Amino acid sequence: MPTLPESELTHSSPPRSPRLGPGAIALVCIITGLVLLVAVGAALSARQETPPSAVTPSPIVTSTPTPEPSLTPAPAPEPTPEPTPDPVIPFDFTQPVPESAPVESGYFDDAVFIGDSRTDGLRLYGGVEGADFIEHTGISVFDVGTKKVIRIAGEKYTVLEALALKQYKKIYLMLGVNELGHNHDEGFRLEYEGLVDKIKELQPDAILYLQNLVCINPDKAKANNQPYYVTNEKIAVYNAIIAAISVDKHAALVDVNAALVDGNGILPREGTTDGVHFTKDYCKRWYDYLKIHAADADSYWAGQTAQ
Amino acid sequence: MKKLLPLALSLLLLLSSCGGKTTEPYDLQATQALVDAGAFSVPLEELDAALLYDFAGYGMDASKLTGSKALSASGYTEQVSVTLWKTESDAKAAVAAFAVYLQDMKDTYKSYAPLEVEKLGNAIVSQRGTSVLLVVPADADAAKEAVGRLG
Repeated sequence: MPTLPESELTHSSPPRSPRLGPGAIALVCIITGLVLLVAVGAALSARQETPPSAVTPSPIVTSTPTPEPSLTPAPAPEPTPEPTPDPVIPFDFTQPVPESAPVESGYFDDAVFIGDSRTDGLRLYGGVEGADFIEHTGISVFDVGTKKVIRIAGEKYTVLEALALKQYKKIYLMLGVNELGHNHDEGFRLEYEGLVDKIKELQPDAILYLQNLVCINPDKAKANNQPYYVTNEKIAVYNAIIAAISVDKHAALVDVNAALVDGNGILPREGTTDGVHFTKDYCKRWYDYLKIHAADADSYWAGQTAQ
Repeated sequence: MKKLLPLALSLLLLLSSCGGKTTEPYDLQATQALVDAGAFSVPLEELDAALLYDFAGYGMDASKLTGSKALSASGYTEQVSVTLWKTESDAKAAVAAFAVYLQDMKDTYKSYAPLEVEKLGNAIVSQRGTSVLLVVPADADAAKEAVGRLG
């Protein structure tokens, strides 16, 4: 029996894939790589074009390198700017001291009151705490530098000599009633001005308050034999002089008169013992007024140099 | 026996002094008795005696004061006060100081309000033990009678 050649037998077997050569394999690899590259590129491109979502995206891990801590010192923080202080408004010496917040306890510890018998009443009945008083019944601007009537530790001094013994921060001056009978307004003005100059010279660090004169109760004054020349008309003239001096000399005017007179501009009967001097209640009222009419120190001193 | 004699004499002196006129100090309410007696022409108001008399100015030692009551009126010299002192010696010193105070008041008022000088001339200053009563009255007779009644 004849035997088939082996080659034929092979033809009767399923056909075998043809064997590829090295060049074909390389070509396939290149094509496959190109296809993969195109696919990856397309995928990345599609991802970048995805519109942002309303949902907070997860943090994207990128290849951005974590910044190395810098050796350069961090810039110094900007200093917090200090609040700019309000500019000090110079005191308006053309107006009386306006109402202020009540002064703090101890405010009068470095104050001195200079005056006549009315100021003596304030000392005796007003309840003023801490202040010194240089006052004398009957004293006037004409003799504050000559009459030795202030008794201190057994020695007698003039008002100005006594004032020079100690430095104060506030000086309250009220003089003028005993001068009403001099009938020489210009003389009063000159003496009062000279006294203000002298006080400022002796007490350069003190705020000087000029307290105007409080009107009287004419009926009660007459009934108690007060001098004929003590009248409210004359007091008004002197108050105008004192107000003008406060402007010229840059001293703070305190309108004590406004605090103690009634709606008719006179001292009420119940406020006075003899028509001129004040009762205990009215001395306290005077003191209460001073406590809420204190000049701002910065403003006062700014006003000293202002024109 | 001789040793006991001085002791007996001392005891006798002590007993006799106790039996003498009382030296009870003035009561602070004596001021009201003067007011009630009509010794003053104006209503007086209470004030601090240390301020009225300027203790420091007149050389009085306020630390030796044990009590006081004083009444006066602004613009007037009328006043009444009782001051109580630690010792009779302190009270005596106060009497001397009050004399200076009253003289100063006279000097002040002779040109300021002459009518007040007359009142100052009728002033009463009376020490009783450790107390001192001072009155400047408008009505001198009423004041004297009232002081007399204080016992």
